Amino acid sequence: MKPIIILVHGMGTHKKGAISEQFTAAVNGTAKDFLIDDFDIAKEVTMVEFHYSDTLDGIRKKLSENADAIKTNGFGALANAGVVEDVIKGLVGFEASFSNDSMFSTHWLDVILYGSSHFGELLRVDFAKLLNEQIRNANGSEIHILCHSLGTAVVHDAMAKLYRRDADITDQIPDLIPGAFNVNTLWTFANVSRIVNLLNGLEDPLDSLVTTGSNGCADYFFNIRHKLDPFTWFKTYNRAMDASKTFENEIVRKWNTHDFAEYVSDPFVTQRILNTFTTRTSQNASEKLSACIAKQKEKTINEAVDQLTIAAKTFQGRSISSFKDVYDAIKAVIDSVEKLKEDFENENK
Amino acid sequence: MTKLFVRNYLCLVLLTLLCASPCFSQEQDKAESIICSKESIKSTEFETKLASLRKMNIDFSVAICKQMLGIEERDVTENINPIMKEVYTKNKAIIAGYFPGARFKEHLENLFDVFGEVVTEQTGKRNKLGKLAAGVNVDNVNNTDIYFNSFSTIKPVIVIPDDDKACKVIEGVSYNSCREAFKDIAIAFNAYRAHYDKYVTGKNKIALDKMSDDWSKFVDKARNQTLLDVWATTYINNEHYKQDHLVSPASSQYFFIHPGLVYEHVSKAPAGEKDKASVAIEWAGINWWNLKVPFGLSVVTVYADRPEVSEFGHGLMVYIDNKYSFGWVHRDKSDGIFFGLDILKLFSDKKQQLEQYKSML
Repeated sequence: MKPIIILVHGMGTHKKGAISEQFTAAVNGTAKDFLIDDFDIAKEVTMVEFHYSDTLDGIRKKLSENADAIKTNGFGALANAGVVEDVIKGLVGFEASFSNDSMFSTHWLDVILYGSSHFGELLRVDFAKLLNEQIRNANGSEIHILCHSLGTAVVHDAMAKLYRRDADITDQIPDLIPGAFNVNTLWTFANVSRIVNLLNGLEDPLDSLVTTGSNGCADYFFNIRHKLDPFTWFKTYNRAMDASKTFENEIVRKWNTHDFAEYVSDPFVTQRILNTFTTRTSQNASEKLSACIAKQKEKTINEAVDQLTIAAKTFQGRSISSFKDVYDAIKAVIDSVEKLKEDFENENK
Repeated sequence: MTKLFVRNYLCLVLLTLLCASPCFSQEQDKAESIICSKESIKSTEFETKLASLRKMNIDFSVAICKQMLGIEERDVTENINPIMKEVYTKNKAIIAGYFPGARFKEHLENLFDVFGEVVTEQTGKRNKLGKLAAGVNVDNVNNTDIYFNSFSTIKPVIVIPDDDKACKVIEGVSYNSCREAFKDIAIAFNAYRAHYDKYVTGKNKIALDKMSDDWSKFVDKARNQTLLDVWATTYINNEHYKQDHLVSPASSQYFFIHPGLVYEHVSKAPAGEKDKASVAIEWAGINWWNLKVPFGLSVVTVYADRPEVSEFGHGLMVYIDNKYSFGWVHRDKSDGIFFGLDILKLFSDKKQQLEQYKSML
């Protein structure tokens, strides 16, 4: 029976099917160096997506449209209203901009909407519904969850509410017993649950039931971060638990070190994925791993490594006490790297 | 203002209110029913190459189903423990028997013994069924972990090399590796909780489907809010959302410095100035969005620039059915009554709304 893989995307707009395609391409690309050439992860597993991008886009659009209606029809009526006019125009103008394509609107607003508003519970309910349905229909198949970026917060918060020590099959609360309904593996890529926790104040990711074992919800936990991904520099997720492993990726083939596909295609990560989701073993695995690492390192963008390393030294260790601190720090890094990337690409045209 | 229009509008509102009994909508939860029979588990469920092992465990699942579900708590322990003892002893004998002479056979038997102690020492709660699992060892991908996943804090693990020859053939069935073999054994074994899993996840499905529907209804039907309103609502309903379990949306929405468009009539204004499109600001308001007839109330200021009448009027706004609003404001020397332009949601073109509304007066 094929294992079931639940994929959960991160912040930003994602088309349905996109994360499955990214995952497949990343694993297959690296797998060529481990197994036979015609390996296809899509044939070995059943992929299920938790797609929440449309929900957040819909909320964002509604906020923007409502504000736009006021802006279009109401601002004329505010002429000469003084301070009131300024306040209303400020509030309305801000929300009317939610439909534009700035990084704030397409990425950060997702984090703010999820973390600071009741719409976060909507996403948690929807994820729990999907997970419960997969457990219900698994019929012996293994269940694995892979989540990236904002998805790590959604998954953590939803599972922290679904798995309950007080779970009782005789009441009407939807819940699962920790230890008895565990998923097989939980993979968090660029885990930002502690950053989002600054906004919503729900269960602390370092103390919740989202851990392994009989007081947890997974048999194994794999935490993957990249040394040069600024999203993992602040409120870094680092929790000691049994049956777990942390991968700290280092290869930089793209300026965007937060990219999900790049996280997956790291040789150590792909090796673990292949061993976990397929029952085929590889001959001479350690030699092949070394060869794969060497091959990927040939495509390193040294300029990106240098600049991100400097940024890491500047920003890591900074005092962080609020979400605004995190936002300001990450934005500063991204803005500086974007500029350098632009210069680099212009020079290398 | 056309008296006929005002009378008709208010009659519509009153009629809607009178028809609302009771105010709170209620829904009955459907009880989950489960059939404790072999036939309710399809052949494609818990599919394994080890047919006889699977069959034995499906029989156990039926027995557990009959003794556990729908029975008083005090009876469950007495009824379940003997069954779990059989589950553990018979499976131990068969599964360990698959590996005569294997280096890990004794460890496997000990693993079952620990599992057996745990599941036969239950004291009441019916939540105690474990699962057999095989996974990749975190330190060495060439080794396989065999363990029981249960509520117990005791969790021994056997670590065996994936290529151990003892796993090659089991009951005439060939396997490529120990991981593959034990995954198949686990499927056949875990069939013993097939009905239990269906029951628990079935109960959850009913509750989660309803919650999801409630959220969809909230997004579609509740009053439109600004981000400030959403934050105020989230903050005030903080205790509701911070419960240790998932919840439907809170029953109330809050509004804070919420701008809106209204059409106001001030009878004592000069001719040609009595009726005007205006901006209303709800300084603070509350709306119960999910009543049988949703109802809300806000403290409001309406701004309009008119000669001989003060620009700002302060008063109250009432919201009905998450859509229709009307209210009253007091200005020096004259009062105004107004209607929200949401009443014109019936019409798609927002620019026409103002003109059409004017023509109704």
